[in-house]
Amino acid sequence: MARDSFRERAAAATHDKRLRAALYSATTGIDARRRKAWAELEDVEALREQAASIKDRVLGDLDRYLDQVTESLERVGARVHRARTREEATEIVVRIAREEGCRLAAKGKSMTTEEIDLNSALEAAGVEVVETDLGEYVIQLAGEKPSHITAPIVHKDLAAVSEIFEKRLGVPRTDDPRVLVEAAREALRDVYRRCDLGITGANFVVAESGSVVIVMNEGNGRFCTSLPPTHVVLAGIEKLVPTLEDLAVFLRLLARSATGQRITTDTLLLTGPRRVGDADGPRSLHVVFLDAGRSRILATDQSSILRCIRCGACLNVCPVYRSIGGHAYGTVYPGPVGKVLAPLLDPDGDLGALPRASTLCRACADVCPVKIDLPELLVSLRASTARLPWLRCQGLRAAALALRSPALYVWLQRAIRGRLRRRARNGWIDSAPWPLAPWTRAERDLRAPPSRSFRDLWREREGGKR
Amino acid sequence: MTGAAATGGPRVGFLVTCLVDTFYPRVGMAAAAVLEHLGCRVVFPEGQTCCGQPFYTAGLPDEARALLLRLPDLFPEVDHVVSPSGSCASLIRLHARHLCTRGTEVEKRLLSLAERTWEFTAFLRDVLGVTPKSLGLSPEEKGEGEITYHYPCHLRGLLDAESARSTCLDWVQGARVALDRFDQCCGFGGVFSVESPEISQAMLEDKLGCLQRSGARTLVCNEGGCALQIGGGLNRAGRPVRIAHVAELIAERLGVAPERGE
Repeated sequence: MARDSFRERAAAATHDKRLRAALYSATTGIDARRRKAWAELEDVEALREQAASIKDRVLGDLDRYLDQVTESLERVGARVHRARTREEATEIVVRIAREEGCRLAAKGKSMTTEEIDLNSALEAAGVEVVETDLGEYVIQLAGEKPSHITAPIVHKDLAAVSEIFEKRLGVPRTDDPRVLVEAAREALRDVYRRCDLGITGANFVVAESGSVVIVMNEGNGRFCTSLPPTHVVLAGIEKLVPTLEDLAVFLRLLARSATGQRITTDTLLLTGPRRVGDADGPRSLHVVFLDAGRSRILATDQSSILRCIRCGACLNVCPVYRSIGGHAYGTVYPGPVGKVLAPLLDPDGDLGALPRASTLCRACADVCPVKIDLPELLVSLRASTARLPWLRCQGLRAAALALRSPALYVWLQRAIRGRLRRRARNGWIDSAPWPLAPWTRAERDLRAPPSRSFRDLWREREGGKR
Repeated sequence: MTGAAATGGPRVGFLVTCLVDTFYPRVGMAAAAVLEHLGCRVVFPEGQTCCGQPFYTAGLPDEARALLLRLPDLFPEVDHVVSPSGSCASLIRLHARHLCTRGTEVEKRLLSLAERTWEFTAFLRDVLGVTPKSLGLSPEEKGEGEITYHYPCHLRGLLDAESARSTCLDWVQGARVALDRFDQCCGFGGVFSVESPEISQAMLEDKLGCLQRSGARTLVCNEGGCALQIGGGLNRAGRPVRIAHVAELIAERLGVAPERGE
């Protein structure tokens, strides 16, 4: 991505009224459902604490849990691969596809595969890939990227989807979503019949049992994991949970946080490939564990970001996300979690503007089911890799030094007040001076300070008392 | 415990904050007057400048820490520190402990002060324990006309949104109207407001839209930053909605309000 382009993309997005209307209606709707679902839980705080502590336990001893899960997976007949980098991960999956002679992959929704841009790699190797999650299918037809972690087409309204279906599938324009769903179903059933490779992510992988857990709503994942003879799972190394009992904690939180459901319509626990006597299931099951920066993040002050279970709740409540949508971020993971995760996964990506583009309103921290203190992580990134531009930084440092002196504070206060009051008409400034100029370039005026400060008034009052 | 004559009340150090000091002096005077009316002995140490909040959020923790560590000497003998801003109170109460990890004497004094530092509304509710009812003020539908409440984000962790709204609206006269997304950020965010003016504006537009749909004539807004942002947007749009800190409205009801100045 080009330098400074985040700000340009964000600015452009804020002017897109249709986008913002779609974002507001979708995100506020999902969040209302989340609130209701959380309210049903007896003690959501205790559950969140528990989930956070389980994740911390795994992250604190990740190598051991990785060894354990490898053993468990192999015990149940799966093949385990470890990828240190994105490139290694795509190579592994492409190699599996080649070795098994796969030509058509049916793919379940997976942000981790987005992270390694798996579709491009497979297509370059001659494997056709079809996204089977409805939202992701629309994204693929449109030639776009998902703009949300759990709701990939949250930025599109029905009319936009209908337009894509007309262009790509020849479905006449309609305002009946059922017609569009039916068209997608027809197309995808054909893919399920022909595909020879299933690719999914994993919401969790259970270390003790070797179960791959996939949480979804459309049943598409069931086809991807039962019909093709080969199933490849790509999972970040942070997706481990120790036991099935621990998994239950997360299952109570994930659907409620993501969509406001108690549990999704399909929650698959896949333990090994097809066994003798099984009616379906893949002949071979491969699990690829992706590091791609995660071990490095583990050693930073921001390691708690790896607790994330990708529910997307922080996106839905984020006023910045609601204003600009996911594409403006220019990263695979958008929203509050993306502002922390993207610069950490991609330290050379010049993504310093992301952690700074937040008011630290803490809406995200309030809804994170695994209690990641996202604002605290943003602040800590601002103090390390996402510093302000040098000049502004030095200016602030000088100001902080001056503010240690009450005399200088009063002098500065008077100087600023005088400067602002000279610009004001009727107590308001419509064109603010440097460095506040951007304030009034937005649709807002700047209040001019009154002629006397609080300390002036207080001193007068105290003087009057004597 | 009402009445200015009461002298046994807590000794309160008033942390006015630089925004209130400079832009909203009337809010500061009103808050101090209410505290005094409720029997507090209010002191205002003139050596106070900035609590360090903007430097903390800008990623300059050392600068923020240096300013924070001025506080114990400024407020040596107070029972509590009270601020009309949740933003500054939350820096001291919630975040200072992350910035002060060296265990020095002055850090210890700051962290002890932090436990006794309050945002104005929370202080009234949780320390003084006063309500309009306990002061004999009856609910009044007239007065300010339609009135609503904006929840400033930095109260999070100090006073939750529902409690803050009901606590504040309990005090005010007027017909209460609902503000959609009352707990959504207005888009101020300090340096953010000038570093990301487009996003800041988009967030402001949403807040102003919700405010317009609420039909409110008065917005209770207890944060100087939010007031600058929302007030600035209202003025640009030419919409006459009064923005008031709850301290001003309480002071008006108690008859101790400073005159409305500029």
